[in-house]
Amino acid sequence: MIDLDFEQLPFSLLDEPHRERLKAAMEMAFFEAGKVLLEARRPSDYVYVVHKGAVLELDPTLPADAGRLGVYTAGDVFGALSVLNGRSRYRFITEEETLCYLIPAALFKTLCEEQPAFADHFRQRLAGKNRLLAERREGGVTMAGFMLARVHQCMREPLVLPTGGTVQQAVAALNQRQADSLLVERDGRVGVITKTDLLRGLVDEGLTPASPALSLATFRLVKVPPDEYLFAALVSMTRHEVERVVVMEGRKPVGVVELTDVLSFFSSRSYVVGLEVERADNLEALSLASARLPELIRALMAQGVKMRFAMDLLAALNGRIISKAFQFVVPEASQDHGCLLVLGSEGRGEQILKTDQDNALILDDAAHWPDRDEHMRRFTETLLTLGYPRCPGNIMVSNPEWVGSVSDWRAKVSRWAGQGDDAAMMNLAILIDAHPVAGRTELVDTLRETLFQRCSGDQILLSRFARPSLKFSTPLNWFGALKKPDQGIDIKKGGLFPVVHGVRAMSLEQRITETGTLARLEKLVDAGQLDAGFAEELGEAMALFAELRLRQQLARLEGEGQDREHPPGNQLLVERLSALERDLLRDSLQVVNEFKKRLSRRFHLEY
Amino acid sequence: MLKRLVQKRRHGNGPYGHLFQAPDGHELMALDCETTGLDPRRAELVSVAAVPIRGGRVCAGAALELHLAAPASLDGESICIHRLRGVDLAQGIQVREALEKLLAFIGNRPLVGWCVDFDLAVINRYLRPALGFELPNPVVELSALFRKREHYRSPNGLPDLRFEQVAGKLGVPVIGRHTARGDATTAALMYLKLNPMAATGQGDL
Repeated sequence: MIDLDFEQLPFSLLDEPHRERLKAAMEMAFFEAGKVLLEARRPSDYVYVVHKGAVLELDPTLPADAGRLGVYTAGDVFGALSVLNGRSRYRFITEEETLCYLIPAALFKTLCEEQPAFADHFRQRLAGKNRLLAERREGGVTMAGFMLARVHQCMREPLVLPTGGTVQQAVAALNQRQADSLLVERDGRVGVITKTDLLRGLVDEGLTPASPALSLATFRLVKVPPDEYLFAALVSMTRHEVERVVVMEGRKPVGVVELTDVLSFFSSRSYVVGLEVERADNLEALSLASARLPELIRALMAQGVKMRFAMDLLAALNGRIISKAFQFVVPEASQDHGCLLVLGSEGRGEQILKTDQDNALILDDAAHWPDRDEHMRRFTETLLTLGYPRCPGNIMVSNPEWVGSVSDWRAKVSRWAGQGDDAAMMNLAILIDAHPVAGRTELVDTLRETLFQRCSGDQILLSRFARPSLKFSTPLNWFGALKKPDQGIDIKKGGLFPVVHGVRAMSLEQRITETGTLARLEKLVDAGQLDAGFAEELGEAMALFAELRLRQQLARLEGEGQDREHPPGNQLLVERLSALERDLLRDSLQVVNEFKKRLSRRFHLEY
Repeated sequence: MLKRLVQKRRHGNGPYGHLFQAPDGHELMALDCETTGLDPRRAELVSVAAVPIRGGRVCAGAALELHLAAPASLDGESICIHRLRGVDLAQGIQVREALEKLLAFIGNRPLVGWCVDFDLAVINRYLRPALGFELPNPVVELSALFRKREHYRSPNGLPDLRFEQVAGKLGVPVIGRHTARGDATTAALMYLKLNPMAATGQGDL
């Protein structure tokens, strides 16, 4: 008895004899919650129809929330595309206990061949789904970016022609400043002269280069205040059919917004960068898209997008770029045998600017890959050209130490765990943050399980592991106020690292598979290891540190370099912060101090 | 037990010898009958269905369903339950033919059912005069499995043993209640729930 409505899509596309064949071959099976029905990149033996329960579709290369692509409930069909394409793109996992009908893959293919309408249904869904995914990935931020940007973020300095300036002077000024228009003043009123006006004057009205330009100016201007939404400026340009608006503060012109500026401002949004990454079909295109990331980050920061969302978005984009690069460099056949990991901050999804490339490769035990070292060296070089600097610790796939089969890795983990010295602990810490970006993602789960098995129950090891989180003192003095040394305080050592590493140690003990610090904090709260209030404070503190650090890195990126204003490294000059920021920083560092105390009690680090 | 040994000796080398072999443990058969009454001594078969359980999967599509020719005792009362009227059974097959098909389908596989004793009693009542033996298959009684589970969970409680209630409690959808095939499918799903080893396709019984 098949309790399925065959009058519903897609089964209504089958004719009666084919429906009978389908009915005769269907099986039913229960799957408990949390079972992986279909692994990413694996072929599927069945097409599944959910009868009862819920199945999640996950992209294992993305951070937890962004990776949830879809939910399938009663009556939904999944696995069809996996059967048609030969392998599944994503991971399907039951969210609750689920009863499914199974259609054998061979039969499903036959049905598709013999009933074209049935096959078309699934092909169309593939196309629709791709589009949906691209929109969804960037959706929230794009809309926010579009709605929230203000005029002053995008305007140019006004180019003012002195009174009595000639046409020649006007042209020279326009060329020099690469502008399309300039402002003139007459009797306290502001007018604008565009390139078109100049042409009109020279050609139609017979002016010479020496004539005064004032007569060409238009004084009916479209004006906006500087804190108007950019969106509104775009609307008024459209309404008045002009290509620029003048930004006025009171009666004084403070800037000009050109239509082309608005368009390029919007086109630097994440959505567009994301699309460029997806469309890139060679390395040049990819590296162009990759080069636009800092610009995107700056725009996000300017709009005050929450650090957490910025991190997630950048992690997703960086992940896609690295994954694409991997596909370009490594031959198709070998991709199925290896899993590329990003480690460290990139693995936690907390690297916003490209600071270094930490990555490693796991191979399955069956892998035969003769040119592996050569491919890996090329891959590292490729990332270098994409703007990811070398890892100073040489934790890269070009280093054979960080490439190995599952059993090699197992041996490495147990060797490091046995060694117990600082370097080994550092390696373990780096490995725990591993996040898969390309290839056979399920290999990472095996690796992580190995890590947990070896380390989670070992109190002495955990204590050694957690110890570095106390290594750097918190930059607060005895009265709980900020220290103000001349060279600035090191925000990474003093604030970021203790939080990240402490949370990492607790996650290792609790076998938490999430890699992001904020996600780990949530899981620790769920497991009853931290109270929700404290976890939130820690999360806020971390976001603040990350933001301060990022701002500094961005400033350095602008090339202002090593002077007194922008000291090298992660040094933060306290006196350059606003009073509010200083207060926030002090409170956050106090939270860090409290966390260190808890860590030291928990892992017995007093001695 | 003794009866089975005697029958095995008598028929073990006959045309139905394979039925008496020990099952290999990879497959089971969920069985259900619809009859004209509830008294196993008088009730007559209306339809019978068997659904294979293979490697943790219920092969619902590959089920066998047999409708028999209308028996003499088909009356209004039982039609109300299984909804098979005389007309529906006009295409039905004779008892002997049905038994042959059923035996060929289920073979020596263990039988699973809800109150399967009743179904077996009815089938055996037909089998004895026709072939001279009773179904020798091992039997898994779902209500016993369920009672055991409930007793383990709440030793003092009396479990509600109505079919729909049990299905609800196990989270199994009731598919086509009071059709032989539907009940057999539901029973097969219940078996998977009551025997998690079987559901993962690892263990046998």
